[in-house]
Amino acid sequence: MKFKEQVAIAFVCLIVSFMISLHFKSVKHNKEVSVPQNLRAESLYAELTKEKEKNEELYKQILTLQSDLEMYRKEATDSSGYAKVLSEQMSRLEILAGATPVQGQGVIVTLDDSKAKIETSSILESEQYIIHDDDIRKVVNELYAAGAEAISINDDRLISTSSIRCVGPVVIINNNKYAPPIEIKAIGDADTLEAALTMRDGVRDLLVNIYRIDVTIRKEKNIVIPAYNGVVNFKYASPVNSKGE
Amino acid sequence: MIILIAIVIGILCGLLTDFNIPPQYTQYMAVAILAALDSIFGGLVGSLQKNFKLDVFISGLVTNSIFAAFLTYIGNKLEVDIYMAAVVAFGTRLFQNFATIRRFLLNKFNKRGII
Repeated sequence: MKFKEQVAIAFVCLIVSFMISLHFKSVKHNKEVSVPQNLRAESLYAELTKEKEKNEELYKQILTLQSDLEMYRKEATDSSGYAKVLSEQMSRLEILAGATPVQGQGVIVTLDDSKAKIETSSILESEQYIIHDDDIRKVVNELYAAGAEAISINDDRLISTSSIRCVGPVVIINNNKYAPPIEIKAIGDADTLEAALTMRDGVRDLLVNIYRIDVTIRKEKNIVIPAYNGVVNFKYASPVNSKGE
Repeated sequence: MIILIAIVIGILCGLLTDFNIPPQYTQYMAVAILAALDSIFGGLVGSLQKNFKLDVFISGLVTNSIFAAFLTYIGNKLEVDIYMAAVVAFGTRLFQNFATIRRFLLNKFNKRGII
């Protein structure tokens, strides 16, 4: 073998071995990079479980703190007149804020997806016949307008920061997911509330006649609405100084 | 001897380079490696049979690599695995050349009476 030939072949060998080792390294590296992406869903799920556990823990904490608060209040009411006024004011505010369970007369409205057979093949049209956030909002809005003092949806208390919205096939209320049937409890003057919903061309007529949703309205002597079981943190809102600025 | 040293240096350079081929280009790299391997074996056979030509060797290396990569590119665009053509062609040639080298070496040793 001539020297010239050897050098030429050696040169190409150098290039090829360089390419091969680089290629090996890259393939290995790329595999390592792509594996975390597959693991991503798994790790997210683990994180979710952890968060759920934490949530549970915090909920327990709320319960103990609430009982503590109850104890303090009892002590305070026993001690002085001023404290009594304060605690009365506080219990009113608690009803308003949804921090305490309330009971009284009212109505229970149940909404369910249409059971009637709808002769349409279009998905777009048939979607109109299932319960949407908007249907629930209409009912809730009407109830508040008629003087409802406390409203819960599937035993989830509506408070001043509650939202009602659709996500996929479920409705999310206070960050909890609910599927039909939706049960709306409202405390207020039962006759007024019922009349507000059943008035001609009102909410019930709209839901039943146009959207074919099953609506049942029941008057009750005594409805219990549970307290809001979440936590509200005010990060941005703070009271305006009473002296005025 | 020079060839072995070159291979070792090449592998070391490849491992020490702090650069990775993006995943979408590894296919091109693989085909190019195959083309270059084919050229090396072709060159070895040529030099053993005493009809090695430098210009043929170098031009074959360059054009084969480029053409193989080009075929891969076209195949990717057409969603047909045209690079298989390069793999089969170069693979067949590799084995043929390898067989030629084996026969050549066997003949050489037979003449010397080693085997």
